[in-house]
Amino acid sequence: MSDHSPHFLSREATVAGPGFSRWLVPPAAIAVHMCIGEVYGFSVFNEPLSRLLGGAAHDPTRDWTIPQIGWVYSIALVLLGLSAAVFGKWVERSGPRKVMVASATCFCSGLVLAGIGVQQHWLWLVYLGYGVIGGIGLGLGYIAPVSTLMKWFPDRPGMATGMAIMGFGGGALIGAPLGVTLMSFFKTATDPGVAATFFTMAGLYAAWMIFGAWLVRVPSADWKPEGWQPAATGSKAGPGKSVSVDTAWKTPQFWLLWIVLCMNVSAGIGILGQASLMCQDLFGVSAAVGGVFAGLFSLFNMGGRFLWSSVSDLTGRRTVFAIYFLLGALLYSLVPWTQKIGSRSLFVVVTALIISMYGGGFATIPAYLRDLFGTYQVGAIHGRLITAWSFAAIVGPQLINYISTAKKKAGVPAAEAYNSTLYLMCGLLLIGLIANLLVRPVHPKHHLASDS
Amino acid sequence: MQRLLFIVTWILVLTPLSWGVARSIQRSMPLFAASMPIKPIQAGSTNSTTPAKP
Repeated sequence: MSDHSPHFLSREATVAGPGFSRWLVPPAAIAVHMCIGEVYGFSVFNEPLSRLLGGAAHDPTRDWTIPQIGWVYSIALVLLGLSAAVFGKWVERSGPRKVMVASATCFCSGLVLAGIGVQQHWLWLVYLGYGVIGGIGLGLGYIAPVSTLMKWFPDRPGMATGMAIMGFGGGALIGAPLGVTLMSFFKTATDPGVAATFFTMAGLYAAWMIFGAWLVRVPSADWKPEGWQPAATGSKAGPGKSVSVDTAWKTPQFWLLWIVLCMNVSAGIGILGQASLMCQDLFGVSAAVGGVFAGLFSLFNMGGRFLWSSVSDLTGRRTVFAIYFLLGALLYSLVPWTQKIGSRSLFVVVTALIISMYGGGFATIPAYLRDLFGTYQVGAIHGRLITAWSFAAIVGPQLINYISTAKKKAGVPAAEAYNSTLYLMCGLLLIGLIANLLVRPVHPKHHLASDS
Repeated sequence: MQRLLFIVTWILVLTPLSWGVARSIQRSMPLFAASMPIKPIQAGSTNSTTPAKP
């Protein structure tokens, strides 16, 4: 008996043996993404966190305000992008299992710290726990399975990453109702039950994420799908020659894709942040019904990630992004018309389609990177590209709010103020379209020597 | 063994996702209810301060 078996967390220990089914890897990725996607449902804690001391009602002299609490979510998203960019190379070196465990440790300990912060009413600890440490866990977990999935599914890379990233989109579908259910279970007359909910979620998510880490495997170096030949995939986008992350981010292709992702996210946020209110203002439905919109969004956000990225395996990445931008611009310009004819159902369908393409953009971009830069360090390159998301998540809403506010101050009616925002979204999508059309294969001088 | 692991794993992953999807569809139904009244637009009622969720 040899005593030199590799450490459980090492990359060597995750190399799959003969006969391992590659269809066991997507559930591992989904398990992790489904947990970290909980961040999308953070808004369910906003209101309870704003009345921790006041009991049933918000006490403006002692309780935290909603904008103060909103920073928790913003910090987490910024740290998601930064950690994905900074730790990308480590992720590639260490293998998916170690990174998934690191992600689980950060994300769940962040929840525990946030819970202590809530108990003690220390907002800085909630920022540090959920925002900073939890945010690092988000970034690590987000990019951990990406390159592994693309190595397992060279014949369908879009679909493979789409499945994982679909889990992230679906995180709110589970996290938000779970948070509400746990809070109603733990609440008392004086405590909304947020701290106990954070502690419980930390335990549940840790178990789920460690399950994903245990399940994940990387293929052996000489593995390929049975009967598959790179030239015979039928895909219009084959894998590019390998480019290292340090070289990739100095190429124009990287920055064109950065613009593509940034524009797609910025435009999507325009609808995500305002559609519930738009539904109320344009069609006069109640706030409760408008709020239902958020659930529908999550559904299409999730479904679009899987469907559109799978379509990209057939059409090629550039074509599918051209569809996002052209069809997206058309749909945005249709929104005012749906209000004009008074069709609420059509409004819902149009905005749901827009959201599906917003999610689709996230899921398709890793495969686009793999087409251009190969699979060698695609996870690390993806990590650096995620900064476009963080940038858009911060700048996009500010831009939209600025325009809406300026219009309102000028006395423009609500419907027209919305129209200006929607036409701005069309403009952003057209910038994204131009960047997408300018993408060309990477110059051979950037390819790694081992490829030639 | 491999087949059992495969089945158990997918059930474990798909169960919470399906629950979330079913719940979301159920909650979305009122949006399509024909009986919901449509009111005229209120000028200046735009609230653009809601935090965006990417």
